[in-house]
Amino acid sequence: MKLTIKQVTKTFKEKKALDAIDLELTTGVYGILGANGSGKTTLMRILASVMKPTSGQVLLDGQDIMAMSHEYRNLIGYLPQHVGLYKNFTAEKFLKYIAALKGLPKEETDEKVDEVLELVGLSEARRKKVGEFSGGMKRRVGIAQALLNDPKILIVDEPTAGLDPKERIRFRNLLSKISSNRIVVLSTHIVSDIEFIAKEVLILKEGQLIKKETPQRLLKGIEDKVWTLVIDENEIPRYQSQYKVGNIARVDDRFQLRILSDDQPDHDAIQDHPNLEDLYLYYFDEEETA
Amino acid sequence: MRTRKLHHTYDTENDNQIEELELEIGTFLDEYDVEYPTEEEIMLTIHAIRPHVPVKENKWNTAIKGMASIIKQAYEEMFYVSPLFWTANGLLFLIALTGVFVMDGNPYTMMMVLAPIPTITGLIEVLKSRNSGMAELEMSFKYSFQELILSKMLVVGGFNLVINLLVTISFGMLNQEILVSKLLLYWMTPFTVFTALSLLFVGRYRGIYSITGGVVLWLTSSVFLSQTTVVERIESMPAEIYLLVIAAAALTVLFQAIHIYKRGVSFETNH
Repeated sequence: MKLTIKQVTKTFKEKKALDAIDLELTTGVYGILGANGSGKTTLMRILASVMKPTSGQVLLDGQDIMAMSHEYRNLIGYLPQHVGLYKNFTAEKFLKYIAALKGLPKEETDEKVDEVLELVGLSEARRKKVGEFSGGMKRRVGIAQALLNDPKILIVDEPTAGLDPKERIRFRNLLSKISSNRIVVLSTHIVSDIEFIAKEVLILKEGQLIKKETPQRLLKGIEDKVWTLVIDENEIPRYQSQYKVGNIARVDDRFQLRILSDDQPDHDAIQDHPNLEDLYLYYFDEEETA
Repeated sequence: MRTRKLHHTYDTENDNQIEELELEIGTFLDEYDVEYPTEEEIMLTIHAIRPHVPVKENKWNTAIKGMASIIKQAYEEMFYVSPLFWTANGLLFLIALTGVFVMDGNPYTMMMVLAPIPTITGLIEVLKSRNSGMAELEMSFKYSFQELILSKMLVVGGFNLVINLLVTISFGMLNQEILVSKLLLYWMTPFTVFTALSLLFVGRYRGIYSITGGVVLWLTSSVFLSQTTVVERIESMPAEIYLLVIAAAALTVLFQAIHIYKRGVSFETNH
């Protein structure tokens, strides 16, 4: 199975949200990283066929997904960034309704609903109304509905927003487990979500795809650019104005700065192993990532 | 004459060269002589490529399939419509009976006023997905968003139709003086007009308050419609006018439904 994104451009009035994106996705997890307004959500919507590109095409095994219409929609599971859910429905009723909209055979529905509720850890709360759920629980209902039809292509936009660390790990493991025979496209701000499970990381900036590499290769690209430096508090603003500064951690009465720089920022600075957070900071300014 | 004139303009040396060239090409092509295939080979080729010939779309079949899909989905939707919608609109049945038989109201005006209310209030159900932030998600499902909108409209309109028919039958059975045919005309007119308006509305809808506004507007106008002079005027109108309005509205319903189905309701038109 191959999803080909061919010269996809999306324009909103004067603004180009996506600019001639070319991509090829096969089975495995793809993590999309990008700052706010980088075009992540627009790309996800186009992949989910809820938005038409201004120009270009998305092809599944050579067939245009817009022409495939319901045939394509039958293959996908989609979790939008903002989804409201029907608050008066119980989790179980909601999922049964979605199963009907996805065209699942009636005889399979009960079993499938049980299975996804179990997967997202909501079996106990199945008879509670969705309106009474916490933000994290609602997100889990969203994830459950995306998995209902056993999708061959799973498109999840900021799936872990609002989930606590334990839930995030659970979701990450779930994605890792199910990604062997399907295409999973995941957009996130939280780099740790994709660090260990993504086959490739796609970096979008101002509507353009600037990188598409395995996490290891991306990290290799910045391996000599990450430095740690212990300084006094009054020196912090100077480094912040001159360099991209990541984590700031207190070490006794001083502070350890994680700095992204092509050159050694100070003779006391020590080179460190990069992680995806460093990579994110390297490509996006601090104010963009906020 | 013309031939002779042309011959005069030709260069004979060139003619010879062309002839030589043609001969040369002819000899060259003879080496590649392709045998004409047998009848059997031709038929085998036709059979082999037949599965790859695109099937001409049968518009009737497509339309019937689309309708069947909408009806099937409408059946599913019935179980997920808010109980409040059923009960509140079911009460209209009782209000109509009470208004006519207990309060001695005019059955025709009563029907005219109450007839479109389930459809107007049903728009809340039809547009529930947009109001709940579910529209984007629903657009990604197997049943297309336009099919969902139409199937919900079918549930709402169908329920409205059943309620109106029940009230008409009850009136006809409980009071022999009431003219059922006149009653039918009186409720079918606002019902079809409001169904047509509702379908026009769902394609352009922006806020839930406009539904409330629609109900309030209709009920306010019904106070005006219930005045004796207005009632007399309405009653004096020939049946042909009602039939004409019903036909025009029914055609609008049909065309608007086809339009929604074909055009689709894209993300951009819903956000």
